[in-house]
Amino acid sequence: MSFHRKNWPTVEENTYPSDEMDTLVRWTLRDSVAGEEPPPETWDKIRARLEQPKAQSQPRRAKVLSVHLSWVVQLLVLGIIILVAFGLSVRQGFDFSLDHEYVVNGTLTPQPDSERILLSSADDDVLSRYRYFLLSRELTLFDYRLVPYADTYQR
Amino acid sequence: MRRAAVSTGEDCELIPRIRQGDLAAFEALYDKYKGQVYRTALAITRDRSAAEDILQECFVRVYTHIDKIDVSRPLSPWIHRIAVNLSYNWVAKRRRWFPSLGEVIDHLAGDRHSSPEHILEREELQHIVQEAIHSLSFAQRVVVILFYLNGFSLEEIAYIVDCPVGTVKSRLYYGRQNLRRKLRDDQRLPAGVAYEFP
Repeated sequence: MSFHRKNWPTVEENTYPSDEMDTLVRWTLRDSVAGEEPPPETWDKIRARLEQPKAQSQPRRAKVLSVHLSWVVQLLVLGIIILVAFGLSVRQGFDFSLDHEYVVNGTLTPQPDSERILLSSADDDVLSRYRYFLLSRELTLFDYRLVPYADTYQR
Repeated sequence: MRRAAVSTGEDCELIPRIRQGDLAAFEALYDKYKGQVYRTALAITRDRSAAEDILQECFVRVYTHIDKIDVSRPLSPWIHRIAVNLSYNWVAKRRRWFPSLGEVIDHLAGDRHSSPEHILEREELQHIVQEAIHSLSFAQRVVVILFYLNGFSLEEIAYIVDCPVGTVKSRLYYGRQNLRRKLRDDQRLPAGVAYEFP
């Protein structure tokens, strides 16, 4: 930029020294458009365009209204779907409360409150297995007694 | 005719009325600036139809953005800024679709001053200078037109074309250099005229 400035003619801030070429350019430009005026109907066209948006405001309003209505319709449809789903689940006996057991993969899953009951059933299971164990042991002992020369084998 | 920018006294009275939807006030504003804007657009585009379209669009935009006007500043540069932008769009489109810009410059040869060969000579001279001006780049041409035709200051031009004052100075300087070279080299110029461009 400093290079350019160095080459510029020394001028005041807002003016350039006027020479013949400046005069010619200024004269040419001004003379070429001197007396040129826009057609009179231009103002009517501008005015018509300015008044046009008022007439167009109706469709725009209608468009905004339709956009709002579409949201309302969407919400209604969503609400209906939720209500139908809720109604179906109630009809099938789905229990929403958390105090009871609920079914996962066809097996009962314990809830905190029902844990004690399940533990008792588990205890029964362990006891019964223990009983089977004792029974099988007795049977084994019994078998030993029945085998001839069992003492010989043990020796 | 040094300055196109006029005092904003009348504008200050008109603008509040326009903001309230007074179309008569807007018509008064239009009547005040229509000539300047139309002639600027015509000088840039050299097309009356385009200049009219630009004028129309310019004032529609002025009306729609009337709330953004700073009444403490001159209105003319602001309006010209819109007009120059619209002119740029028009020139850019035209350049894209019609690469040959060399159309007939018949508005220079209008029948405003019907007289003998003196007129022909003057028209020839104007034609050559116009060609030289329009051979400049758009940026240089706009600065030259705003400076010589409208008489805007460098600061006002900087505002209109939205660039620093230094850039305006540079464009004006190189625009003048290019014009000088083209006019000096043009063989069609009358000898007396050519002699004046050393």
